Amino acid sequence: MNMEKSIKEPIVKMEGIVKTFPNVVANDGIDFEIYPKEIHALLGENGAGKTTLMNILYGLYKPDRGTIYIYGKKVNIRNPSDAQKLGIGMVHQHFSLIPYFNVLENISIGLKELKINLNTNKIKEKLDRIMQEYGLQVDPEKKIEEMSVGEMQRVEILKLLFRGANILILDEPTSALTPQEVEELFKSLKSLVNQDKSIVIITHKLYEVFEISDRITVLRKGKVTYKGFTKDTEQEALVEAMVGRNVVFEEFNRKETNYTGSLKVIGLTVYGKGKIPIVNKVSFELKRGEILGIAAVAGNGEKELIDALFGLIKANEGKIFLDDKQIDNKPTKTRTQLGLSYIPGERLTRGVAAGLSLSFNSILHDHWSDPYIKNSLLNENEIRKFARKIISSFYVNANSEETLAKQLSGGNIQKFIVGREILREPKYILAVNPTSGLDVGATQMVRQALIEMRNSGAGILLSSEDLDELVSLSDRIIVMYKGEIVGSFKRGEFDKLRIGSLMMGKKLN
Amino acid sequence: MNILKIIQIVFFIFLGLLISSVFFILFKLSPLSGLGTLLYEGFGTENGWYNTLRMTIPLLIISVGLSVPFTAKFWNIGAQGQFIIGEIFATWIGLTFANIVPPLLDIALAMVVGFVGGALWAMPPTIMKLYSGANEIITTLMMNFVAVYLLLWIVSGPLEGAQAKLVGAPTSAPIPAMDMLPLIPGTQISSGFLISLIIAIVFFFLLRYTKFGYELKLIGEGQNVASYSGINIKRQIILSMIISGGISGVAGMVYVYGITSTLIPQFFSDVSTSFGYVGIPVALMASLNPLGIIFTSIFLGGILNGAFVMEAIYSVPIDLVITIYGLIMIFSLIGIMFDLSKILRRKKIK
Ligand SMILES: Nc1ncnc2c1ncn2[C@@H]1O[C@H](COP(=O)(O)OP(=O)(O)OP(=O)(O)O)[C@@H](O)[C@H]1O
Ligand SMILES: [Mg+2]
Repeated sequence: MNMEKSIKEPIVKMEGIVKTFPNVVANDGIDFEIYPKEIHALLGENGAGKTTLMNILYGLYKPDRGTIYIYGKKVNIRNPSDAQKLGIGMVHQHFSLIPYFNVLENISIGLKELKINLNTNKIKEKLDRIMQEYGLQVDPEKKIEEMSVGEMQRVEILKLLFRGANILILDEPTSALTPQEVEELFKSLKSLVNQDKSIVIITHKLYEVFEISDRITVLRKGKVTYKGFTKDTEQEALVEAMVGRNVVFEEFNRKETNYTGSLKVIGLTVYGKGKIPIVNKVSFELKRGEILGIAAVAGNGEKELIDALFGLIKANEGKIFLDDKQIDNKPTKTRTQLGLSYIPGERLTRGVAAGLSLSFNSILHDHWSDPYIKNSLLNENEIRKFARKIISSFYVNANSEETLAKQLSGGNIQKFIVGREILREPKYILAVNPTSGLDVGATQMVRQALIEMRNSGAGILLSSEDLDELVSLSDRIIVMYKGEIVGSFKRGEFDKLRIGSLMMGKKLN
Repeated sequence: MNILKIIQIVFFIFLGLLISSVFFILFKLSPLSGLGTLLYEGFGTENGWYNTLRMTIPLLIISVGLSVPFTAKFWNIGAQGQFIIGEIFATWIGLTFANIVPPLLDIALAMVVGFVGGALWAMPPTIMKLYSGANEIITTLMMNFVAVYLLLWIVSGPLEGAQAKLVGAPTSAPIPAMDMLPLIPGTQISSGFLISLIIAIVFFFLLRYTKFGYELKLIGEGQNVASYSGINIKRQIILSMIISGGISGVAGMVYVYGITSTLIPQFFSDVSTSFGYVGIPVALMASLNPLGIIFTSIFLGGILNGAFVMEAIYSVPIDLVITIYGLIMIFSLIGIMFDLSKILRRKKIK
């Protein structure tokens, strides 16, 4: 297998790729190859240039220098439709499906054949065939807005296969998936490779790299620092190639805390369509100086619970008290002013205003008053100062505070959001997947920061897809299933197997 | 804005003029003298400039008002209707109070009432959008049609002037001359121009440096991030439409008190020449920057003026004039929106 692969010619060969943005060299002379029938993991720190390199291959960016060969032939990829003609397809970090269209409609968008007549039957037939062939099942009539992230992912991949892609680029496909969905995705990827496709996968999770990939390329600050077969690679070497030094994972310094004040939730209920409760009579108390983990398979009401706590959706029943002050009838603004912060799951559409500067993005919750408003005008000096503080304290890879949020790499946007929500010094933080899309070092930094917030008296409600993260950070874990709390564990008694089965709705005795 | 961009805009305007020439030739007119006349009448003479600024004043005020809800990506297409209601309300004030209260008070009163009229006219579509989701582009547009016919009825009924019968065209009685906005000393330019400049500067600060402007930008970035930020979206959208509608109403007041002195139904009430509609590209061309709008409104005001003069003096068919005017507008829009530098870079790599 190994021998055979090394003899084969690469189907994609990128040579000496250079791409600069104003003041940033995103790709600095990168050589990158994709071989037939392989899963190739592209790794590197946040801002290392992974997305940029793949965007170049997909025709979204022009490289300043460098050459691309496909099947040994030099090509000029001017735009994504050129890339598609060459059999290259890409699923982005943030999906590009239209929510109120169904699968079929989403797949049809932009198809050449459609310009003449809308032949849905033919499209449906072809889609059925593809779903059969690769074992990727979705309901063609289902609307995207009713789908789980895992399903959307499948639609994105089907869309590429429909357009005849042979080389699939997946940019952090697992960062928003549940572990079960990751399993399924990996199964499909393997069957795709068995049917002669090649796949590039970008991820920050090393165990995924070892589970799924055949070959690895590591980037660091725009340069290649490691290339090799996965089976010949040691984890330490990989981390060192990414970070440039050996990373020591220190144990968190978890202090005994004893603060007064709590975020108390009593009988909180949120109804969905048809008066079916999505969150069902949930009660708990989050003390200051405590991290309370919520373990749930996505779609069991944990998202709605947190949105209701922040006032983004209405709670139909129940009460919320923040330090004995009732807030369930108060708008989001009041809650933030009382000291509530929220690190949301949807970083690009909710966590930042993508088209505005980091300065403007630093005061989303605090633009009402001193020091950011003076004499009812924006106090730009103070705003900039705060943005710079976030950038330097959380090592956000940004040119300046005037950089637009959308110009940051995915992980750096996440760091900026976490930094903003922490540095505004809240009393309580609602955190949803706070380390999603972060590299090893940044993940460690953010966890450390959350622990420090806890030690100094903040109460943190932590919802995470990553059970290991919950176990390592939480003081207590509650398990949610179908909108209800079905289990509760203290630190020291965490049992991943039991938590896991409760999350799946199994009864324990 | 860099040099390349300016060259690009000029290039596209030139291209628009070039294509316009074809139409002149079709109508057996000399394109050179035709286009020359258009620009000359718009910008070439002192008198031309006076007339151009007459067009610019309402255009500038309306566009600056539009830039407010547009910043929140709330598409107010109803400025024309709001403008007309402002005209009607202001004229009614003028005809009722002119000889009773001092001129300055009359002017102030008319301006306030004009604002209220425009703002009121902007409310039904706003409320419909916020509380039942009806598309504001359609509803604001419909309100325009209602306003146009309301105006026709008003000038041939409640506010019909005595001289209207003589002229044979429906208009109101004129506002007394002493209550009109004075001219800027030594010129033929209405002081309404100063008012419009002040409005532009105030709105520049409003959008750039206030909490309100900041929140509108966040709303424009999407509902999700705006509600996450804790902004009261409905309240700010309503406020932006009160301002936008109100300012269009003020434009109507300034137009009557500064330029026409009577309430005249627009002869060209079509999309291409009405101030309320032209205001939309004027605002967009300036990327919603009120200071930029000063220049874009002067430019389109000049073209509009040149077009009217050609029709009136040189008896060029009005349809031709409007076609040319539309072409120039489209091409200057392309010139501004289009990123030529991107295309050039692409060429270099090939
Ligand atoms: N459109 C852009 N304009 C300006 N700078 C950009 C742009 N896109 C990327 N960059 C910069 O290029 C660098 C590389 O970004 P890239 O998105 O490729 O990183 P990445 O390796 O995908 O990181 P992550 O793991 O965080 O997604 C970053 O410093 C980023 O700020
Ligand atoms: Mg990326």
